[in-house]
Amino acid sequence: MAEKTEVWQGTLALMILKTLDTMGPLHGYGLARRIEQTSGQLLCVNYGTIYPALLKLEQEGSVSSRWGASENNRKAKYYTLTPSGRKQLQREEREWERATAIIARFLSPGQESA
Amino acid sequence: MKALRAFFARLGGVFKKDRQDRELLDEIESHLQLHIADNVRAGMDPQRARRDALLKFGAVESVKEDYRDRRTLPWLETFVKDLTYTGRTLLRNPGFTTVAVLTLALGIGANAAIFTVVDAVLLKPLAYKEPETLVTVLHEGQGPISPADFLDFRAESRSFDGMAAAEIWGGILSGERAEAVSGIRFGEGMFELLGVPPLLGRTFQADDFNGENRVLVLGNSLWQRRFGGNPNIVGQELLLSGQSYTVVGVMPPQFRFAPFWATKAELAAPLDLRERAASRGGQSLRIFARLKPDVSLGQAQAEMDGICKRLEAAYPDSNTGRTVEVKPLLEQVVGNIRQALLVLSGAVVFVLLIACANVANLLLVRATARQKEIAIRTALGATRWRTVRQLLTESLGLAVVAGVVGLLFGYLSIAWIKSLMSGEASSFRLRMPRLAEISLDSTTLLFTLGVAVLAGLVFGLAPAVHAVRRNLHGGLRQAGAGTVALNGRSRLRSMLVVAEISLALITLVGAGLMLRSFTRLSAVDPGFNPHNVLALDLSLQGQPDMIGQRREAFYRELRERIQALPGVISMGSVNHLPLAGDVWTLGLNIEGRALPKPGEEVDAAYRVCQPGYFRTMQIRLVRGRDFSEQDRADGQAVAIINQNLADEQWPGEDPVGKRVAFDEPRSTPKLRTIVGVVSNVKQSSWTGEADNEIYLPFSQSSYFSSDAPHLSGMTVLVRTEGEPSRIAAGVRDMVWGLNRQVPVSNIKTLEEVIADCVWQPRFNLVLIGLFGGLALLLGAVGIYGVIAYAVTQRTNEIGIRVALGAKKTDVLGLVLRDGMKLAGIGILLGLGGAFALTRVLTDLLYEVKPADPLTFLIVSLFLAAVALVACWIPARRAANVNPVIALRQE
Repeated sequence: MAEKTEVWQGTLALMILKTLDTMGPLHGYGLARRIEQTSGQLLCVNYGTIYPALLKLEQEGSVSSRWGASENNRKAKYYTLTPSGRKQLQREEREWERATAIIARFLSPGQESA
Repeated sequence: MKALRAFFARLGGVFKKDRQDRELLDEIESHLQLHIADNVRAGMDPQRARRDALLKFGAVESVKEDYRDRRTLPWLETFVKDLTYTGRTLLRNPGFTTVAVLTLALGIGANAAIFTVVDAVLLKPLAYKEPETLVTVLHEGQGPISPADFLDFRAESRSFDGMAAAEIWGGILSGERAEAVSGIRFGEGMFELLGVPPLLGRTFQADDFNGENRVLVLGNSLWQRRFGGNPNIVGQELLLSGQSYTVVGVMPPQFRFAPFWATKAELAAPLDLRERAASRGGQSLRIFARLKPDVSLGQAQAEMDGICKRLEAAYPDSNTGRTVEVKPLLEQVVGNIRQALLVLSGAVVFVLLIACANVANLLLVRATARQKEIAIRTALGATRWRTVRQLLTESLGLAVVAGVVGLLFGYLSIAWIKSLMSGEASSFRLRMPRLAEISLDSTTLLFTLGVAVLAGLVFGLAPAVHAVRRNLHGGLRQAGAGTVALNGRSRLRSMLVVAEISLALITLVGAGLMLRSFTRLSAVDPGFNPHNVLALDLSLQGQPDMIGQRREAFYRELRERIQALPGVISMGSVNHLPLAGDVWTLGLNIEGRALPKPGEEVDAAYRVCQPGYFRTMQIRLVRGRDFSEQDRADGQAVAIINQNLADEQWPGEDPVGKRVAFDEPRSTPKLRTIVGVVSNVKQSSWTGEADNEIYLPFSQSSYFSSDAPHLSGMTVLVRTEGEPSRIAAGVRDMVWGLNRQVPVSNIKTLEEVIADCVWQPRFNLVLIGLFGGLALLLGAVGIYGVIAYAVTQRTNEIGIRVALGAKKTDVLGLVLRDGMKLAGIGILLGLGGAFALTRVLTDLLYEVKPADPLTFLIVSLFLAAVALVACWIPARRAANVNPVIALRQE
């Protein structure tokens, strides 16, 4: 296993939103697993930290939650992306892309200035 | 937006904590179960699967903690906890709570009441369109303007976005019972200037001003009162003073035709100036205008000064010395009540500060009792800030409860103040401008809440900070507290008392000055005896046949009938009642003297009276004779003048027998022989200087010969043996018995008329007196509290002194000295403050200087005496300390 990176504040919310967008409704455990997988096991999330983040998103109206049954019939709380959450996701994706593009230019200035 | 949404979700979280807690546990449990199941599927044994799941989840407790902090508003939760605790502590000390709440509520209530008045009278805009740009253009800021001058002003001025004139008017409205209604004539553009659309119908239009359309716009009050709010009133015909008018519109309830001078106007008719367009005499118009947005008051004034100068040069005969003042409308309405209200506001703030100081003192005493509790809190890890917050929450809780009670006090005071305005028989009537607009509303509520919170901080902060500044060690050590009298806390208490005493002294000096001024004012001699005289207005307007001999016969008959009533001494009547009615100043020429130059005319107030007037009013006849029944219309023309006119024109001479020509309205001047001189009477204002007056007998005046509306009414005066208001109904019925079409209005006693003149000083006196009393009471309670507490704390010391042989008087002196030292310092500081502050009272005082030494001295002595009594009670208790018991307390 390669060196794992701690999830920094703020990006967890973006990951949650993106995951819900591609995967549809998920419970907290599923979300945590999925984020870990997507990162190629590079990202280490203490699964528990996802819950305060989910609560914040729910309070802001980006996700909604509902109790339901899991694939193997266990009770679980499912989170769904709301329309306003989708908009937030799009906005944050754009910002993120712009930010990484700028950073990328700084980190590889060779071609530009040459 | 999102943040706001999250805030409300968290706010909601505060109230469903338990359910959310359970949900989180359920969710964590479900998470772990899912994870374990996955792990088992991946081939782990159940125990390892469980351990791995728990490991990957991270610290459950820390997640819960994060979740909880996120879920609700932690500061709010602490606040709610503090508040609950506050509620419990306050309820556990009902005595303390009651005293503190009542003290504060008095202060807050007084502030709420005065603020409500200030807000309605001074702060709220007038109910017109953009009222802040409306101004009046009047002679010396208040006098009327002639039609030709007005038309020139309007044509020549460039500073205004419109200028219009209005004139006072009125008539008798026919119906089941005739009623005299006050009205106003509105010139072209007046409604547009005020900018208030009608509720029903329309206002005036251009062709209404050519004098052919007789149209009326009704005020809301008249429409409701006379026509029951009939929605079909527009288009109906009304009979007003015998003439038919068409109603074209009704104004909304908050609209006033004129916010000053013609405040009683309830209907408006168009003002047709065509006939008078060239007249520069007969000043009767009030001019309203709207300043252009970029023009300042000063610029408008400068322009008007220039126009007046040009008019003076062009028409020296009429316009010499005629200037105008441009004044904001609100200032015109509010007048000099502003000063009084500001002074009252200052006084209530003082009262509140004293109340705050008192409660701060109470809290300091309690802080001593709670020293242990605070020390334990600190020992258990509460930060200073946390403890200060807890203590501040307590004082704020106290303040809010006091605010609610204070609002109730405020509400009652406002109801009381308003009832003073309307009371028929009350001799304490208020003539406050805009009084009807005074009511408790959301502004007042917000203000009161703000004051309460501010007060809570003011009285809570010092004790709270003080409480945590003491160190832990000192707090936990129990014994020995209070053996030292002058520790930091008692120094703070002493300072608070000194501040209270000085604030109380300032307020009391204000009250004392008002009282002195009012006594002076009450001692003013109006020149007549107002005791036991009933006054009522009647008018024969709209009865064209009741003129000349018939009119005189009506009054003669009325006099005979009224004088036959039991308890009636005499009856007389006059056209303009002094202090209440109009004052028409007209010019007179003296026989044998050259005509005066412009600006040097001899003017005199014009009074028409019937025989018996001087006797009824008890106006002294200085020389010559009174009018009599023999002064008939066709007899020798006579007049009576007052002492002032006699002294001015005939110094050292006897004016009786001299002849003057007097220009009466609607009559050609004729030579009249002066037959008598009477003493001076106050004319239009209670404190005004005496001015010239000339009296004409009714039967030789325009009031006898003209049916013009303004020459058709008289004020009848009846002097009685007992309470004059008792015969009011009888007199009115007697008038209607003679002629049903005569409206009777303004029935009141002359004493009420005078009360109306001095309502403002009386209002000032009563309120400042009330606040002074409150300040005194609170200050006395404050000094009593401090001394009484000091005595309890020093019981030991006093016990030892007594045991060592101190006499009762020594102990008494010891305690009194302490108290009086505080009082003395407070009084000295207060005297300084009063000296600096009472200057603002200058305009409100009559014949009393703001630094009146006698008032300062008496108030200081009085306050010192009260302080002495307040200290005497605990001092006596100290003197009676039994040393055996006192020492055993240790």
